[in-house]
Amino acid sequence: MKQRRGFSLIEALVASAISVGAIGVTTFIYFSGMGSWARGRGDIDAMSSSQVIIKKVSKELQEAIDVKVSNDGLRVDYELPVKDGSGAYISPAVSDNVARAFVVTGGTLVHVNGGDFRVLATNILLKNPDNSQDFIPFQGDGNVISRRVQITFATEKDGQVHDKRTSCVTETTYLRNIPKRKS
Amino acid sequence: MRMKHRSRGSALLITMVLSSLIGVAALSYVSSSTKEIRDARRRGQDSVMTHLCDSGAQACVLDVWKTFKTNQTFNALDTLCAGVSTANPKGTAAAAVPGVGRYTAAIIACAQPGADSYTRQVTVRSLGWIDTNGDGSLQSTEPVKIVDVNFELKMRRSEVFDFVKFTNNFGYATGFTPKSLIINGDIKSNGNHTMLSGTFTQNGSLMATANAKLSSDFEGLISGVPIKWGSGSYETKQTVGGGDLDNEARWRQAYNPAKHGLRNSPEYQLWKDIIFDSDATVGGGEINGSILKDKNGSRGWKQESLTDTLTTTSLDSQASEEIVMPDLSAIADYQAQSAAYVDDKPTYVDGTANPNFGQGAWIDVWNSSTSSYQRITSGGNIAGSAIVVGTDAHPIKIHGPVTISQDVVIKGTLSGQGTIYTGRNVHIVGSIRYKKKPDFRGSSPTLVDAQNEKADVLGLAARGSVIMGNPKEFGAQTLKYMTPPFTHSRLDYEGNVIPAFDANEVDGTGTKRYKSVLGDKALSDIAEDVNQLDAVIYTNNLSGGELGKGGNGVLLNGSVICKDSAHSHFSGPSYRNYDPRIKERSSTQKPLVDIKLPRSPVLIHGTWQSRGVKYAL
Repeated sequence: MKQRRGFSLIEALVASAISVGAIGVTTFIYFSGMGSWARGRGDIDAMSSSQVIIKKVSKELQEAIDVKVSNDGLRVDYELPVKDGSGAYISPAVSDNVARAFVVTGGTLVHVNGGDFRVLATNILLKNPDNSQDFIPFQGDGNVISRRVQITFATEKDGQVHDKRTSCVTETTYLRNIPKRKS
Repeated sequence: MRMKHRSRGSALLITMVLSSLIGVAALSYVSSSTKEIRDARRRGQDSVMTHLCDSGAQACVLDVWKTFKTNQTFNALDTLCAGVSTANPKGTAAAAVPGVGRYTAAIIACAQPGADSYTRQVTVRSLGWIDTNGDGSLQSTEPVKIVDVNFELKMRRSEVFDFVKFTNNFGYATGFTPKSLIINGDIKSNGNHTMLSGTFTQNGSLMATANAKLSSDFEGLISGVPIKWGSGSYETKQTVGGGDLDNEARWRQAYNPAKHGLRNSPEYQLWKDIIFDSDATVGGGEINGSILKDKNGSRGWKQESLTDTLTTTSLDSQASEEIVMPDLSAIADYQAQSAAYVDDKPTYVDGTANPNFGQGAWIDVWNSSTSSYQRITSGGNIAGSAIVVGTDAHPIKIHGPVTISQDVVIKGTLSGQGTIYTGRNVHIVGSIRYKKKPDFRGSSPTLVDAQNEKADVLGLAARGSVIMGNPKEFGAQTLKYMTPPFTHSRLDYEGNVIPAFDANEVDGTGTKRYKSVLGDKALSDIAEDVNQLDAVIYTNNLSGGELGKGGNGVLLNGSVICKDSAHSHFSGPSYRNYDPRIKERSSTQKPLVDIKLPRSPVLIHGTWQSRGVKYAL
C-alpha cells in the first residue's frame, strides 16, 4: 500500500509562482488587448465621424448655388436651387431662398437650414495635436467666385484613458451649380 | 458491484460560453472596422462615379454644342431630338475610362421655351458606374450613380458687342503713343493681344483669350500693357474738352463715388455699365473696374503715363474665355429676319410713344431729282448693291435690320436706329455721323438712358469685309496689314484650315476682296476722308482701310468687331468711344437700344442634380 503525502512547500511555491505568472501574462494580454481595442474603436469612431461629415457636407455643396466661404474657414453659406413638382431643379437655377450654412463653433459642426439648427458632429479639431498645424474646415479656391471648396474635418474620439484618437479627412468638392458670369 | 460515477462537463460549457462572448466581441469589432472600410470605399466610389457622370454629361453636351456652334442653327438638334424622352433617349455618348469605370449619357428632354425660337432647353441624363465584371454593360449588382444636367443653347445677341474693339484672331497695335490713340471702352481678342511697337491709352479693360484654333499667337496672353488714366484724370480731360458732342459727350462718365454710389451699392449697379471705373476692385462676388485679363487671370493695373511705374494687382486666377463670333455665312437667315422684322417697342423708358412701333425694316434716302425721300428697300431687303449718301439736311433714314445682298457704299449723316447687313462688303467712303447724337453725361442713369434711347444708332454687319476709305488709293503700306502675316489663318471647328485673309485675292464675284463689285470709279467719285464713324461695325473677316488721311484725326464712336483688324490711321489723335447703348446691361440683360445685331451661339449651364446612387454590396 502506497503512502500518500501532501505537496511540499517548494511545490506549492512553484505552483503559486506559475499561477501568478500565468495570471500576470493573461492580465497583461487582456489589458493590452483591451487597450488596442479601445484605440481601434477610437480610430474607427473618429474616422467614421469625419467620413460621415465630409459626405454630408460634400453632397449638399456640390449642388449648391451662391456658395460663400468665410475668411476664417469656419463657415460656409449656401443656397440650393428651387425644385419643380417632380423634384427636379428648375433650370436655369433659381435660389429657393432658404439660407443654409455649415458652421464650426466650439468644436461642434452645426448645419443651419433656414431656422433649423442641427448638430452634425462634435469634437471637431481645429489644430493638429501632434504638430499644432491648423485644420481649416472650409477653403475656397481663392477666386472671386469659388467653384470648388476643400473640406477638411478632423475629429477626436475617446480611445483609452488619457488617449484621444484623432482622424482627419480632406475632400475637394466641385460646385456644379454656380452660375457663370460673363467673361 | 462497482458504482458508476456521474461527472458533469462544465469546463466545456464554460469554454464555449467564453468563446462565444469573445467571438461576438471580435465580430462586433471586425464589423465596426469593416464598416469604416465600407464607408471609405463608398465615398471613393461616389467620387469616382460622380466624375464618370460628369465625363458622360460633358461628352454628350460637347457633341451637341460642337454642331450648334458650327452651324449656328437648331436644325440638327431639333432633328436629333424628335420624340426624345426618358424612355427614348437620343444622342448617346458612352465610353469606358480604363481602370476607373464606364459612363453612358444621353439627351432625355429638349424643348423650346414658349415662343422663344432662339432657345432650346436640354436635359442630359448621365450614368456613371463601376463595371465590376468587365462585361461593358450595367448589372443590377454594380454600383451606379445617376445625374441630370440641364443647359440652354441660345442664339443670343453676341457678347462681342460688349467691347469697343473685338478681334477674333490675335489683337495688336503698332506705332501709336498714349496721346495718338485713346480708347474709351473694353477690348478683347480671341488670341493674344500684343503691342508690336509703341503703346496707347486704354480707359477700360483689356482681355486676351487662349485660342487653339489659331496657328500662332494663340496662348491667350497680353504682351505690353497700355497706359490708363485714373478716374479723376479722365473726368478732368472730359470736362476740359468742353463737351464736344462728337467726342467727349460720347465718353462714359468717370466713376465718382459721390455721384455713382459706393461700389456694389444698388446705385452703382445701375451706373456700372455706363461709367468708366479705372480702379479694379473685388466685392460682392465680382470684379468691378478696369482689368487686364488673360489666360493667367485678372489683374488691376495703374500707369497713367509713360514715366509712371507700372503696378499690377492680382485679383483672380480664372482665365479669360473665348466668345464665339457670329457667323453671317447664311445671309439668307438675315434676309428672312429683315423681311419678318416688326418693331415691338411701343414706348420708350421715359413713357413716350415710339413713332416706329409696328413698322418693318427700311432705308429711305433723299432723291434730289424728286426732292423727296425714297424707300430703297423692299420688305426690308435690297437685291444687289447700294450706294447710300446722307447730308446734314437730308440724312439717310434707317429703321430696323435691313439686308443688302451684295455691297453697300455709305457715307454722310444718318438718322434712325437700325443695322445694315450685307452679303459681301461694307465700304465706308466718308465720315458717318449721327443726326441726333447720344450724350452719356447726366445726373442719373435713368435720365442718361432717356436722352439716349431715341438718339441715332447704326450697325454695319458685313459677311465679307468692312473697308474704310477709297480702295483705289490704298498704298502698299495699307495693304500690307490686310495680308498675311498680319492676317492669320485659323482652324474651323472640324479642324479644317481657313486661309488667312488676303486683300489681293479675287473672290467669286471676280473682284479683289478689298474692293467693291461696283467698281473703283463709283467709289472714287464720292470718296472723302474718313475722320469720323458713328457706327457699330461687324465683319466675319477684315475691318480696315485708311482713316484720317486728310488730317484732323479719327473718331470712332461705336465698336469694331472683326476677325482681322487693319486700320491705318494717317493722322491723330484717334479716339474710340464705346457706345454703351448696345451693351446688355447687368441689371436687365438687355441693351437700351436693340438694333438686331448679329447673334452668336452660347451654351448656358443650368443645373446639375444627383438623381440617385447605388453602391456595391
